[in-house]
Amino acid sequence: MSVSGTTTGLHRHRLDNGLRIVAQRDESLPLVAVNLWYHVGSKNERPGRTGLAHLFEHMLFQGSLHVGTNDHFGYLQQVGGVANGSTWYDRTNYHETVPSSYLELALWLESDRLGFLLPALTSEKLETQRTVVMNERRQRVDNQPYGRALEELHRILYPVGHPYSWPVIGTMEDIAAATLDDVRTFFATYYSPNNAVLSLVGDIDPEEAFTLTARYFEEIPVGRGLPPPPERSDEAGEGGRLILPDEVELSRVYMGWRVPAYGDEDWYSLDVLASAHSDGKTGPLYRDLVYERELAQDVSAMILPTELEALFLLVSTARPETEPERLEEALLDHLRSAAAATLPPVLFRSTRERMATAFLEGQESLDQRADLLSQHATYFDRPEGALEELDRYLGVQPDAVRAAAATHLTASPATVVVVPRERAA
Amino acid sequence: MSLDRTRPPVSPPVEPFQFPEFEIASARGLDVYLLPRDTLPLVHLELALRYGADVEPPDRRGSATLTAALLAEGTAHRTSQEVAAAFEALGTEVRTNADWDGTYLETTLRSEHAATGADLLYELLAEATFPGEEVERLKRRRLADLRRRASRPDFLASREMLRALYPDHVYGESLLGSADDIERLASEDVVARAGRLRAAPLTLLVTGRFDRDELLARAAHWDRPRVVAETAAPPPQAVPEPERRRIVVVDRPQAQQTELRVGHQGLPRVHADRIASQVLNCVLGGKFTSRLNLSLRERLGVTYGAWSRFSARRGRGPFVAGAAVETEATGRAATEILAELERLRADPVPATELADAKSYLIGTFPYSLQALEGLAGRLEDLATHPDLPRETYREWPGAVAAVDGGALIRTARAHLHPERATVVAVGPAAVLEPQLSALAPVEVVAAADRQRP
Repeated sequence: MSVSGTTTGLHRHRLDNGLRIVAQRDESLPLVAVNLWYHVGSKNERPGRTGLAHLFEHMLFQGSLHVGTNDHFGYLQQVGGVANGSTWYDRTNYHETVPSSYLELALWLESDRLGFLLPALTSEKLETQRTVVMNERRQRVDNQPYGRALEELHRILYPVGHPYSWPVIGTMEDIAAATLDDVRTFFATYYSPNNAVLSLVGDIDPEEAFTLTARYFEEIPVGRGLPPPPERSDEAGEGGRLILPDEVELSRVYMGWRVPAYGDEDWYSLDVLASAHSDGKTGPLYRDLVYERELAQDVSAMILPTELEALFLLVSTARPETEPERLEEALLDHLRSAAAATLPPVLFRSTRERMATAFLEGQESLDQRADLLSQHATYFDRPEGALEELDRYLGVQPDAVRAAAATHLTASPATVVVVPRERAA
Repeated sequence: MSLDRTRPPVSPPVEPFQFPEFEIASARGLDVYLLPRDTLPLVHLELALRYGADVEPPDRRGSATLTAALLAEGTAHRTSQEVAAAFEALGTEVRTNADWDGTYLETTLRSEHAATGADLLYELLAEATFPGEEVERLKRRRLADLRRRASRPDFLASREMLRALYPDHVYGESLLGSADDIERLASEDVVARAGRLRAAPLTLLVTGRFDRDELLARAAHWDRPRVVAETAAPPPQAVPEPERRRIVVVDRPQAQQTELRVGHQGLPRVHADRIASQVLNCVLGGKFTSRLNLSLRERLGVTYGAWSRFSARRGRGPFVAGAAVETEATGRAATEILAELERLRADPVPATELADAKSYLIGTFPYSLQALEGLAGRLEDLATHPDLPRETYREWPGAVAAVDGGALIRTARAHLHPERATVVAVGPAAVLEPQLSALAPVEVVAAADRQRP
């Protein structure tokens, strides 16, 4: 046991094996959110084995030495717990919200699959989860209108071999190719206490929670050693404009720009820009494209919170009578305006007001709070950054928004245009 | 002390969670439900009207949701853009929508803006003007939206199921209406509907941190129409169901997967078996460890997830089970779903399985109330269904706990009907037909016909 400290209600602790723990007490409901992040995601994969981090996430719900197949969900659901996991470019998370008196149950389950997974891993379980994941890919991507657009955008935006150039869920071929050995090696390499953050938010006593956590986690040894983290390549991708025929009725435009990573000053400026322009009905993108000129059915601007660098994304569905080229030109016009002039004061004020409300709404869910703590602890080793994030947004000035647009969004984007198959023919 | 990992740690029993107390006040012809929660400086405000889509004329489907959307598109004092700007200045947005049973205007804002927000909500309800150009604009957008949705296989499957279960009935179309319905809708229809809506029973729902007296004083100043209907319209009439099992394949030759649904009519929101049906559904398809998901996902590996639900509304809403399945395994999956329905009718659910389902429902209840919207949703349910006792949610955990094996099998026999269920599969008919024809004769429709909504 080493460091323990408090920052605005946050309690921190670190075990000798490197596991970092963050706790925050909130007694408003008799619940606790248990949120475990492993600092490994699809960016740690290699071409030929894409989708492994996600397939692995599925395996972590298949039981461990002391927990039978499917019993992870079983134990949690029978006490009224809500559990899930997700995989992203930079991390994999596992989380459950349980009645707070069952904190120990959740810690028993999480420590068992971190400390004792391999004895329970079988090829039969892998084969079942492989077909489940293939069906997940069909459901989310291949059989979904517009489902492949973002994959294609990532592929052309980044150079070959860039850690963000392949989809998190992986290609069908790679999902088919993963072996039990791949899964074992992945686990031994990345699922180590010193590559994890555990956040606990809810009706708990933080010091008691640390003692309990230590009981279940401190004997878990450090893994075989982490390889150096993947690096981004600043080389340009293929870029350009790709037409993607699909089973759709309306065309949709996806435009992407490579911008500074999550945490950078400019990242926050660009997020304010995205929110101001597309979140409300008075935002210029919505007002002009959807409401006034009716070129678009919908429009959204967003920036992904990724670690090596970020992606600024514009997505807009064209009205049946709108040629996608016209919509693309209109979107680019807006960005040119955003780079040339500062946001109107009324829009700037209402954007800040909306961000303040949205931040409070994010605090309503214990799990969302725990997840944001894990995010800041994992990427920056500063969980308190989660509590300061609203201040970072409110610190953004209109001219910084304009300057960020001018610096990062005036180059030609990579563009994917999904069009109805008959139009492409 | 050495740690025994071989069995789960024993935890002290959980204190039963109580749905929070709330006050029902009255202010000039409207009921006000007030539920304080002080955790965050946020308040959720909602105007709930007992007037939904189930009273739409047969050739004006979609008018309830379109009229609701138009409440935010201009009032006697503000244009559409000015309405949006007024809410955005308070750091929020307004949502106006309708479901089968009611129409709702709602917003979540910081507590300091509560009174201003409440007045704005009421302005939309009382003084929306439905400008002709806004009606036409929203109709154009709705028509494009229907085209966009028609390329989604899950949307096609759900809509096909409704059409099969409720022929010539208001529940037989999605809440959006069909393209023909939308094209027929005129400004006068919207204005007429709004007139009836304004005379419907109205409740203001307030949850979060707020100044009770201030809000009640504001509501007392609202100029309510003189004639307010005592009760909403009667619920829609029941329709006969198909007597035999039906199979409808919506042909999408290029599909990569099949959207499968199995369904029939269920039971209304207010029904003696409602809570037992919730426990039954939890065993069948309401959680990850339910029978359908363990069978189709974890045992057969043919889907990413399988589910089931009884929709709750004034009339008999649908019961539907579904999954997106591997096309080659569709016959097996449909057989499996039907067999699971039959098994619940034939064999008692083992005691531990029943206990797990009940403790899941009871244990996740506070989880579902973390956000103010979750609390407001329960109040909305009470306001929209006046036959529900005020204590419904305080008594709910106890009522769930009281469901025993006998009640469960009686409920299964009364409300699950595999022998006359409709099976809908959206995927390549050439591959699906041979797999499904053993279950019942297969009717094939072209997705292209269904995509022109």
